[in-house]
Amino acid sequence: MEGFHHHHSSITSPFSYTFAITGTAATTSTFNTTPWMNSRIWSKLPQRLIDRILAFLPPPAFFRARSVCKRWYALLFSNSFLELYLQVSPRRHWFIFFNHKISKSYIYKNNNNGATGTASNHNNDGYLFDPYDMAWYRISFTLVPSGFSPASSSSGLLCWVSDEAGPKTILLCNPIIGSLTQLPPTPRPRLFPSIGLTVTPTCIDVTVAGDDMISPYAVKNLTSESFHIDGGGFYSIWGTTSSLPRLCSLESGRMVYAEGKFYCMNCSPFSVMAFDITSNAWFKIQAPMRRFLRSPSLLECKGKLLLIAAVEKSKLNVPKSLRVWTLQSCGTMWVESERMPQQLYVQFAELEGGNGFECVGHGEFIVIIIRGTDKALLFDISRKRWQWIPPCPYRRHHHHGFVDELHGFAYEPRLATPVTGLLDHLTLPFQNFNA
Amino acid sequence: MELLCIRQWISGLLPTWLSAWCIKPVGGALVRQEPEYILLALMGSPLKKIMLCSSEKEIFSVEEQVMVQHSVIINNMIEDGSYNHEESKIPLDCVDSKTLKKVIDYCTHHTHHHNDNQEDLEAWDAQFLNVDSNGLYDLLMAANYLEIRNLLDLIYGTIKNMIKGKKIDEIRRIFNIKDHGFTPEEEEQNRKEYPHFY
Repeated sequence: MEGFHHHHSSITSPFSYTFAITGTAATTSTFNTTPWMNSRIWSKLPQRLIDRILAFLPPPAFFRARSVCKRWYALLFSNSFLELYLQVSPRRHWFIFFNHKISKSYIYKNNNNGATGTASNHNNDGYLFDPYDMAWYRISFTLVPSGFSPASSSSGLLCWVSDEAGPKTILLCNPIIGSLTQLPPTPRPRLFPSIGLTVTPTCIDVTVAGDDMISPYAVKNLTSESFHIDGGGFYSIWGTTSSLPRLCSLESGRMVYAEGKFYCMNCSPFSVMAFDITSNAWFKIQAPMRRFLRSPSLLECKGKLLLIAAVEKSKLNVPKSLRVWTLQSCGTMWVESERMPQQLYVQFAELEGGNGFECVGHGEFIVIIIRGTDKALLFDISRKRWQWIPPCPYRRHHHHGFVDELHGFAYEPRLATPVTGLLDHLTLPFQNFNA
Repeated sequence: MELLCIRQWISGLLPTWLSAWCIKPVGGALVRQEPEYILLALMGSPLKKIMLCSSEKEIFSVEEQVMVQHSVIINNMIEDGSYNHEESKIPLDCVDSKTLKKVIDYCTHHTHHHNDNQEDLEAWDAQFLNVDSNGLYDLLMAANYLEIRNLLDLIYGTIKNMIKGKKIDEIRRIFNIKDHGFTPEEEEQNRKEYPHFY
């Protein structure tokens, strides 16, 4: 893989060489029922209103619409259109999945030939999932070099972190328009940190937590560092550090953001680690039914933190179930808010067979992926609807016959992420990833 | 407001059958004053009404709260005082009666039912938008003129769903785009970038 180019402006870079979105055949069935539109009426629409319709289109349809005429093609580079887009475009609670193996064992297996930068299984394809239409798309992240793995996502940006132990390099990527921005590397060398990212139109917050490799005796020293930059001119480039409570392990590798805090699942015993960004402090929250949880995951839904897990009280006569709890405003108490219908759980448990599952949440949707299979469930919290997701048609099957694990993130595809412009003002020494 | 109260108080002294059908000329059009409005005007209640005038010169009386909550344009007019409750009506020359009635329907329902659950509201909205192309177009222009954000989002969402599945040629036909401006090489390039969209 060749070295990547540092794009300074996310708006003017041509994107055609960086990605290809291909739609599934399954999506065409939803298109057959669209009504005929009378051109005598619609051709009278003033341009500004047509632009507004285009700003409403989801990215795959938007890119198809670009081929309609030159004027529409150029809208992606028009500041006035992008301003309109940022104002009116609806929030899309989509997901993106990758084939990466993000587990502890990776540090013992060296999949990437780091020196040459060409790994045989280097595949930065992302699988975009639209839960509204149950449609899959494929996006390539050709701008992201090998030796990086996806770690987090917020407001249309995907965060990639370098795999190698040492100071971590973090890249923020918007694959829709092909922009890539680099954060300054973390000062402390780290082994396998958990990364939390939250992006708003005016600020970027990143927290890196994990073993900082200070001790040569392999005793874990868990600390965290935070990066902040905002449009008001405040910035803290890994300036704040804090230590984590004792006896915690951040094995899940991912953080969820809700109400000013990053949350992380802590194992054995299960508890939730919370990091308050403004006060730069970590604290622990007890998990509900912690001795009976299996495969717990944290999610964010409508600004609230949710915990989803299978419950198995083997000693009592309580049926096994899959439950969702919501963290209350007090910040320490959980209340059970959802439960998978028992009949469905029986089906689910049969397919899962004790292998475990992973959950990702975005907006009103929760996706539950059964490990070791390509089966996933979609739960719509507001409509209380459970549906099996059609398998992704783009995933290659592992040559051993089983499917690579899917790791997912809540991802909102966006045509513009101007906040990365804040990072351009930081003068960083350009880091070349060529071999 | 005081002048209105006095006038209404006087008309309140009239026998109810007369005051109930009190018809006054307001700005050149005729409008019927509902008795409850007279009473409420006396009481200074928040259920103040405002008058909207369609392009066909038909007057619609709407709760001020309802329109102020939804339409940025009307809200601005009321706030900067250019709307005089006593005499004025708001002329909406680009909105016909049929469309104006629908817009008022939408705003009234959403104000009174904003606590309803999501599914019920969505069902009502879907039924509301069950109109033909002309109706949808007129609603769009009216909502755009009055700057009613949630109605606009609803309409654009509907149009988006109509557009997003259509092929390129079909979209060109709908918006009457005769000259797309691409060279044959560029068209070929477009086709290559997204092969599955054709």
